[in-house]
This record gives sequence, C-alpha cells and structure tokens, in this order.
Amino acid sequence: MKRLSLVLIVLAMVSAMVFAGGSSESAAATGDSNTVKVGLICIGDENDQGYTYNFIRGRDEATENLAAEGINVEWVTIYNIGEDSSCVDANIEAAEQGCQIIINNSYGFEPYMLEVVDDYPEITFISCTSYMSWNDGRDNTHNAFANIYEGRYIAGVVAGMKLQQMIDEGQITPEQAVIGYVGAFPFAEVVSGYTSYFLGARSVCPSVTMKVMYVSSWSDATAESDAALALIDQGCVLISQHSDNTTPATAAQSRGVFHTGYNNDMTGIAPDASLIGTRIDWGIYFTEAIRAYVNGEEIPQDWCKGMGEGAVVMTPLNEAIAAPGTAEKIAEVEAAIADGSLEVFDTSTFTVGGQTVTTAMALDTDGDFTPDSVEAVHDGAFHESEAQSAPYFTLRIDGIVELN
Amino acid sequence: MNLLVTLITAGVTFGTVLMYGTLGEILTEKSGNLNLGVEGIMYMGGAFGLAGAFYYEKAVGAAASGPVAIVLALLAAFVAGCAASAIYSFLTITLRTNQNVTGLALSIFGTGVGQFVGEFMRLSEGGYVALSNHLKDSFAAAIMPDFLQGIPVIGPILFSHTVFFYMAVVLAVLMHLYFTRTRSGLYLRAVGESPATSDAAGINTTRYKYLATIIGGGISAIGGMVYIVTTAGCVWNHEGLSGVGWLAVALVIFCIWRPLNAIWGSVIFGAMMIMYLRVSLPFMPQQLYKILPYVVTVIVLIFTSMRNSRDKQPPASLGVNYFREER
Amino acid sequence: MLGITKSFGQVLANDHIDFSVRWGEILALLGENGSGKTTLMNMLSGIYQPDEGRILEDGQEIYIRSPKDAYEHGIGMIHQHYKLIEVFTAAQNMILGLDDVKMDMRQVDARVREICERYGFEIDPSMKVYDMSVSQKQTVEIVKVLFRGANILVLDEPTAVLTPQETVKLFKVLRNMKEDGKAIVIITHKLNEVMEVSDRVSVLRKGQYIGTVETSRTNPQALTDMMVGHAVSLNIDRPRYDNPQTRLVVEGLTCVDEEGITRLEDVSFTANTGEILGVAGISGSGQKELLEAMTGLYPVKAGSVRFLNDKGEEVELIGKTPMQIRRTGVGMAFVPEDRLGMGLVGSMGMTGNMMLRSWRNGRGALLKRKDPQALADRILEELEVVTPGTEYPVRRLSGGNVQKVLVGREIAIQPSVLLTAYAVRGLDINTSYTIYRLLTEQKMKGVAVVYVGEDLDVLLELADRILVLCGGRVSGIVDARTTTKEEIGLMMTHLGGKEVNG
Repeated sequence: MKRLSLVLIVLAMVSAMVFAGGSSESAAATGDSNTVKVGLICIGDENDQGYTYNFIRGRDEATENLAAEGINVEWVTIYNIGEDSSCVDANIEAAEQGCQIIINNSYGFEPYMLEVVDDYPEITFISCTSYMSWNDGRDNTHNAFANIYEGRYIAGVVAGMKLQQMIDEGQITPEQAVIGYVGAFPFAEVVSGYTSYFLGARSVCPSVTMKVMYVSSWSDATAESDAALALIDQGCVLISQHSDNTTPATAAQSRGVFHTGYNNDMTGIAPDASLIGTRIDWGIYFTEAIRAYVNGEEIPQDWCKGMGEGAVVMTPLNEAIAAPGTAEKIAEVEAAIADGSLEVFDTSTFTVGGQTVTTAMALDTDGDFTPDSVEAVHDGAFHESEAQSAPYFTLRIDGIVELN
Repeated sequence: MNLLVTLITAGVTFGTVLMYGTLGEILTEKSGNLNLGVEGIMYMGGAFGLAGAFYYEKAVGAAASGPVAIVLALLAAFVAGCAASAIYSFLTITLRTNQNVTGLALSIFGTGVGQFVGEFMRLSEGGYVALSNHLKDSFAAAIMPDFLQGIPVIGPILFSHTVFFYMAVVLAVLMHLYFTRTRSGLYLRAVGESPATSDAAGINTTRYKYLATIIGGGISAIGGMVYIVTTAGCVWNHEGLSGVGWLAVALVIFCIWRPLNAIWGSVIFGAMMIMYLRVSLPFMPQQLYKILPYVVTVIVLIFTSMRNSRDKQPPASLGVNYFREER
Repeated sequence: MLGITKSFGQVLANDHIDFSVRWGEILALLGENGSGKTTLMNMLSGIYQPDEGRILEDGQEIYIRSPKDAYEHGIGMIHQHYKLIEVFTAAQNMILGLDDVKMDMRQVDARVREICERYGFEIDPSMKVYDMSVSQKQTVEIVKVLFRGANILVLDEPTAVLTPQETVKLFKVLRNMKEDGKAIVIITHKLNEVMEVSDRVSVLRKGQYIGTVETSRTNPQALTDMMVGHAVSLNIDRPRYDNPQTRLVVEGLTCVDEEGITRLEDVSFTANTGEILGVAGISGSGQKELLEAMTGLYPVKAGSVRFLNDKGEEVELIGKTPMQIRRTGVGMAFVPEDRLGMGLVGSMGMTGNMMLRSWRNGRGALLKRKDPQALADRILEELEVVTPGTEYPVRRLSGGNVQKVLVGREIAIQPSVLLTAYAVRGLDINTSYTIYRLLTEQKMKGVAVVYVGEDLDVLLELADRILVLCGGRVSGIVDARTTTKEEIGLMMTHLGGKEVNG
C-alpha cells in the first residue's frame, strides 16, 4: 500500500511539473462553420506592458475585425515560454489542441518551431520577427514583420526635437545631448532599430550622439532597469529601448530624464518622462493572414508592411512634455515617408568609419551570419526590409557608441 | 571616483532586496535550520506583497495613501513568508524530515505559488497588474531630505535610498543587538550550536527553532516585495526574482552569519550584479560578471575554513535535525 | 532512592535498587560495565524516569521528570560527555537556561569567581570553551552545576580523561565541597581512586544492588569480590589442541591517542595457534586500541607485532596498512566491536558485505558476484541466519544475525589469526553459544584466536589463556583453567593483582 501511494504521488508530481512550464488559455467556442483555431506562443505575458502585451492587443484587434466579417477565431495562447526547448513543447501542445495556425512571437523561437513543423505539415506556422522561412525548404512556414524603422525614425524625431529644445533653452549644451539606448542583443533587428531612431533624432538635432548598452535578453526587467540607470549615470539625458519591459521608462522617470518607448504607450507609466512610443500593429497582419487562410488563399511566405498600411503606428504623443511643434513635425515626416520623398536610411545622412556607404548585402544564404546576396543599397539609400521582412541593417554608423 | 560612487549607489537598490533575504535566513540558520526555500519564499513575498497593495488600491481608489499601502504590502509579504516557513518548520522540526530536501521542495513550491498568484491576479484583472503612479512614487521615493542627498560622494551613497533600505539597516542592527546582548538571543545561538546541550539546560529548543524559522521566513519574503516595488516598478514580473533567493543564501555564508556584515555585504553583491553594465573590461564576457558573487562566496568559504577560526563557523548543528531520544 | 527499577526493552538495567547518599560525604558508586550505574544516576538527574520505585530527599518524596526538575531540587550531574557550547565563554555557558538570572555579565563573572575561590577552582569566566583543555572543561561543568545552586553532585567517570596531576586537583576540590556540606557521588570503576577519596562505597552488579561499605573498613580485594561475584558454570566445550606454535609476538606495544593520553603501554604477549587467548579488562583499558593496532588501524608509537608463518618466517605488521598486511599473505580476520559501523555496511545485503572482502577478485573494473553470492548462501545455511534474503540490508537484521554474518564472513577467508572484540555483546544465549562454537572450531583448525570479552565467566570457560589489561598495561597472563574469577577481577582493577593489601 505504501508503494502504491508513493507511485501515485510521484505520478501526480510529474504531471504537475509538465504543466508547470507556461500557462495557456483558450477562448470558448461558439459557431463552427467559419471557425478557425489559432495558437499564439508568447515569450512573456501582458504584465510586461510591452512586447507580448502588444501582441495580445493585435490578437484582440484581429479577432474583432474578423468577427465583423463573420469569421470566428478561437485562440490558444501560451504565455511565458522561454527561447529554449520549452518552445518545442509549446508548439506541440498548440498543435495537439487542434490549432490550424500557430504563431510564434519571438525572434529566438524560430529554430525550436522548425523542429516541430515537419510533424504537422497541415498546420501553418508563422514566426514573427524572424527570417528563416525563405530558405528552409518547407511550405508551411512563414515570417512576418513590419517597417518598424519608420516608426523608430519618427520617435527619434520627437526625441531630437526635445533635445534641441533643451539646448535652445540652455538646459544642456549641444555636446550633452546624449541618448542612452537599452538594447537586447547586437542583432540586425536591434541595430536597424536604433540606427533609424538615431537618424531621426539627428535630423532635427545635429549635435546628438548615442550610447548603446546590450542586456543580453529580450526581456529582463531587472537588467533593463539597471542598464537604463547606468546609462543615465553616464550622462544620457534621454532613454530609449528595444526590450520588452517598461522598467527603462520607470527608471528614466525616477531620475528625471526623458524617454521614448517601444511596443506600448508608456506615457501612463512615466508621465513626466515618456514622450512617445512606437509599435507594430499586429492586428493588421493577423487579420490578413487569418482571412487568407479561411478563404483558402496563400499566406505570403514573408510579409512586411509599413506605416502607410497601418502596420506601424505611433502611440499618442505626450503633449505635456513634448517640444512645441512636435505634433506638426510628426505629421510632416509621416507624409514624407508615405510619399517616398524621405528615405530613412538615406546614405547621405550617415557615415561608417568616416566613409559614405555605397554597397551592403542583405541576405545571408549560407548561414554564416554574414549577408552575401541581394544588394540593399541603391538609389541613394539602404533599403531595409525590402528583400525580407526581418531587418538586416547591421552597419555601425558614426555617432553611435556601443558600450558593451 | 564617480564611477565607484554611482556603482555603489546603484548596487544598493538590488542590495536591499538581498539584505532582507539574507537577514531572514541568518535568523533561521542561527537556530540550526537550513532553509533553502528562500527562493520560493521571496517569490511568494513579491506576489502577496504586490497583491496587498494592489487590492488595497482597488478597494480605496484614489484615496489610497502611500504609507498605508507600504504597510499593507509589508504585512502581506511578511505573513506569506511566515506561512511558507511554518510549513517548513513543521516538516523539519516536528516531523524531522531532511532539511535540505524540504528546503528545496519549498523553493520550487514557493516559486510556483508566487507565479500562480501573479497569474491569477493578471487573469482576474484581465490585463497587467500594476500599481498607480502615485503609489509607485511612494514606494520608490527617496526619503531623505534633498540637502543630505546633495553632499558630494556620501550624499548619493548614503542618503539617496528608499525607506526599505533604511528599514533593513535598522533591522540588521537590531538583530545584531538581539544576538549579542539579550538572553533570548544567547539561547537561540545555543540552540543552533548544540540543541542537546540547550535542551539539557532547560531551554525550549522547539519553540526557539519554530519562531526563528518562521520570523526569518517572513523577513526574507519582504525582500521579494521590495524587488517588485522598486526594481520592477510595482508591476508583477514573472521571472525577475529568479536566482535572488539563492544569492541570499550565498550571502549568508559570505557574511559569516553576522547581521552587521549583511549591510555592506549585500551592497557589494548588488554592485557585482550590475557591474557588467558599468565597468566594461574588454576581456570579461558578461557571463563572467554574473557569476562573480558566487565565486566570491566560494573564496570566502575557503578562507574561513582554512583559517579555522572557531568564531567564524556556521552554527554547529546547522542542517541537523534534533532528536531528543538520541541523548 | 528506593526500589528503583528501569528496563530498556528486554534489558533490565536496574533491578529494584536501593541507594542513598548523605550530606557532607563522598560516595563512590562502583560496578563493572553494564552494571547499571549510569542509568541509575540518569534517573537522579532527570534524563530517565524510573519504571518503579521512589526518590526521597531528606525523607520527602520528590519527582524528577526533567533536568530542570533535578536542578530545582539541587541535584547536578556532570556527564562523561560535556554538554557545553564550544563557541561560548564559560560564563555564557553558566547562564544557559537560567531565566531568572540577570544578563549582567559582570555579576555573573563575580559570582563565578566567588565559587572558584571558595572551592579552589581555577577558571577564567570570559575564556572561550574551545580554547580550554579537557580538565578545564570539566571544571566549567562543575562550576556550572554549583552556579545553579546544586548541593548534590554526581560525577560520571570524572577521571577517565584526566592526567594524574589533574586528578589530584579534582580530588582536592571535591574534598572542599564535601567540607562545605555537599553530597557527592562519584561513578567509577577505578578501585584506587575509590580508596583514596571516598567515604563510603556502594556496589552494583548486573543491575542489582549488592551492598554499601565504609571505605575505611574495606579493601580492594573485598570490593572486587562484591563487584565481580562468584563464578557461574557455563558448560562450554573446551578441547585441547595438540602442539600449539607461536603465531603472533607482540612486544613493547605503546599507543598514544589524539589527545596525548597513553592508551597502551609496553604491552607484550604471544598468541599461539590452536589457542583462544582471552583478553579481560575494564572497558577503556586499551582493548580496542590493542586490536586496532594489530590490524593496522591505529597509530603505534612504539613496539612491534610480528607474525610468524608456518615456515617460521617473520613479518612485521606495525607500520603497514590493512591492505599491505593482506598483501604479505598474512590472513588476519577482525570482528570489531562496532559491528554495523566498522564491520559491515548496513544498507547492503549479505552478498554485498561478502564482497567487502573479495572485491579485488574481479577482472578490471567489474565485480565478480558469483563467489560472494555462493558464500553468502553458505553462511546463511550453515549458521542459520534469519533473513528474508541475501540482498536484504543487514542493518535490519537482529543483533545476533548481524554478528553471525560478520563472523561468518571473517571465518570464510580461512585466516590464521582471528581477532574478535566483544563478540557476544548483546546477543541471546543461543547465538552466543553458536559464536563460542565457531571460535572453538577455528581454534581446533589451528587459528590463533584473540577474544576480547567482558563476561569473566565466559572467559574462564572459553579461553585457554587470559591476558588481563589494566590501564593500558598488561596486569597479568594466566592459565584460564587454573585461575579464579577473583584473581582476574583483582588484576583488572589493580596492576599485578596479587600484591594487594586492604
């Protein structure tokens, strides 16, 4: 008897542990004919008020849009999955629950997702912000991203205007206009992001420079906060971020410096510091993709749209603290981007090692992480997100210093 | 120089979290109980502490007062920690299970409970769980007057911190006085050194072990709460506390079980954790910085055992359950 | 104490004992090991409760249910194993558990010094215990007891770890306390000390109270008689072996332990083939050290142990590890006192324990299991070991079966020398006789058997010769068939034995 109860206890513990990694929820099912079940695997949860929260918003927006069109979407959302083998389990779990489409929301999920895709050839797998689907030889994988660099550029403009205002009012000297950037990894997505941001800032504040700190994680609240504080201690007067949490904003607020956010409107959390934010509106993509699936059409293997199509949006401007004239400037720049008169990565606006850039490759075909095909520089600019949705701008331009 | 000042000042933020964890564990270990569940206890403290303040604010709305929220959060975290440690105490003192195994189980259990409570709050609120900015400011505010903070060098290092830091310092001093000056503290140390001797002398070893472990757990839990309301910005964070409890256990050894050492020891550990962001030596990869606290603890351990000074040893019966019949 | 009775399971430790001590006297409580002295005093100090009987103080019945009660009645016990907190000072140890004494360390210090002056102790209250010598720690224990106002002191084997000089000092303070009107009980088995310092002597034997005499009116011989009692016939078969040869020569063996106390001094004897050499002596006279030194497990300061094989060649055993001794071809079997600690691995089964001897026989890194298994099966059958199986952990077996496994294994290697320590301690009658039979069988095969035992009756009937140890020295070697129990008893307590005056 003792043996039996021991075995039962062990079984109970083991099954508890299986469920311990990540939690999932499913929305209830109502109709059936136009019902599609979609899995969404997230690196965090809404508490980050950032990256995953943004995806949830996109999910809910798409559900609403599609419901209006008579398509019923059932979601299986799995939270707090790390970029490790638990991602494999999560994908399998979603597949076993009958999902027809499975969306992986983080860059580092793709390799793990690819371990599962061959076992479920009838399921459509989408890896957001990643890039392998064009080269992996399979039909059921896809990528998606947006021209976030457009949003970043505008956020940079807002930041630059604020800094220029501070210089004009004598609060800081031109040399003290230093931006601190909390980055996750030295990947192309991050480099592309902060470079476009910087170029936007410099377009209105010529003396600005930038310092970048990497925290080696997409989401580490403590490290992001520590990095922001460290940058502030080094003299940065404005903080921006490419990371999933809001702690850089709260850190900036606590020290009385300014901030621009990502993924979410952080002005509520840091009303005296956060000027504006930019985010990808995933609702646009999700609506398109799911609609296509239900109608039996092909989902693009790689999808990337920009501000013009509403895929990239700015969060509300914090008028209380923004420099005067910012709102008008934003509208001006948005229009210029939309009609093509302004190229974000205009090669005349930056130098690398003192030289103007005339050539740079976009895609990496042999897996050695060095781009080697498809010329990205033409017509006087580096064309980001043209050859593939995932960014590939990896040049380190003058004026930006990476601290670690 | 400035780098050092900012490094130390920044180290205090994380160090405060560690200090609570360490002080609580010192109290527990002085009674002979090795509670390895600090990790889980801190998670629970973080979750329940935030819940305390959060639901208070929901109930009271705009009239929420900062100090009241702080007190409620402290109480909630403390009680959660006490409850978890009570389970541990019952298992190890009365039922005499192996302390290491029980502690490890508690750390997994506590982490699960903490994350469960966090998730529960998130789901029941339908979104993220955070405190309003008004409350957030009271939690994270520096309480010393500005002129003190303005003193060069000492100002930022000593006076620019939250109320929790100063409370922790006071707690450390009180604990030190308790151990060295009071009769009850002497008895507690005796229980930790040799329960058989204390029992023969008529001291109620069971009572001392229970109280020390439970109260110690409560104190450690406060550390988790402090993390959530300072570093994490009063928002529930799923993995931010991971590893903090273990650092606290290492720090107890580093401090040689002396509360006063915990004050500067935790600041040093805190500074070491963020050093990779502030001091960039070209040949040191980030990961090496992050293992620094543990390496330092091992070095301290080696030194203290080499010198063989009797005063610097752990309580002699640490980790050993007391069986009265074996006398 | 009247009619005190106490049992631990099957063992009757105290059997209706009457005992009394007067104010202003030193009473020695005398008896062999296992006679029940410590158990009796433990009841006085509140550690155990008697199953039957009463305790009276000044004619009034008192109940002592815990050490605290004992203190309240003014009874203080100083144990053999000191109950002190090493990292505290002497003064801090004094006040442990005393809730009503103020924490003013200066006052405590003053009181301690006062006690010291009164009786002649020399300790510094602020010294840490880990810095103290054994004698100083004992002093702290005594002062601790006095600090709590004890008027009745019980000292358990106080001189076991003291040097002669320290013993003299101790006796001086004991006399001072006696003059002050305190009642003191010393538990001991050292006759010379009894004669030197006590006023009266109470004797226990095998759990029973034998009698009390005035020290001035008795002598060591009479006391020994009381302690040891008459010989009891056991009917153990004792055949003679033809032509015994010298097998082991021990010469001048001297051993000193870690704390510097000499455990064996200049011990010399021979062990012959076909003979059981019994070793008698009060516990702690050096038996354990003797056997361990012979097997290479105890550091030897001086002397030699030489093994003579059948060809007359000599092998010096001192300085070799057990493995080295084995390699020289000397077949030495050892059945230690600590069966489950030193002799067997408790969590392994019989087979595993057999392998402890034969693990090197396998090829390379793998163990050969077949032979040990066969051996285990054989032992199980021949010695009738009661066990669910040869894989069943031996620590779960009853004491007798554990010993059968151990002895069986040692005999199986067909040794030329077999050393056993307290082989039948704690065993029932039948198993004990089985062991006697096994040992005698080995003797008749030509093995030199050394049997360390505490039951004199057994020694007299089992052994061929008896070596008596007293205080680490050889007190005498006698023929077991012609000696008497009294003679041996005297040699155990008094070097030389025969020269005795009252």
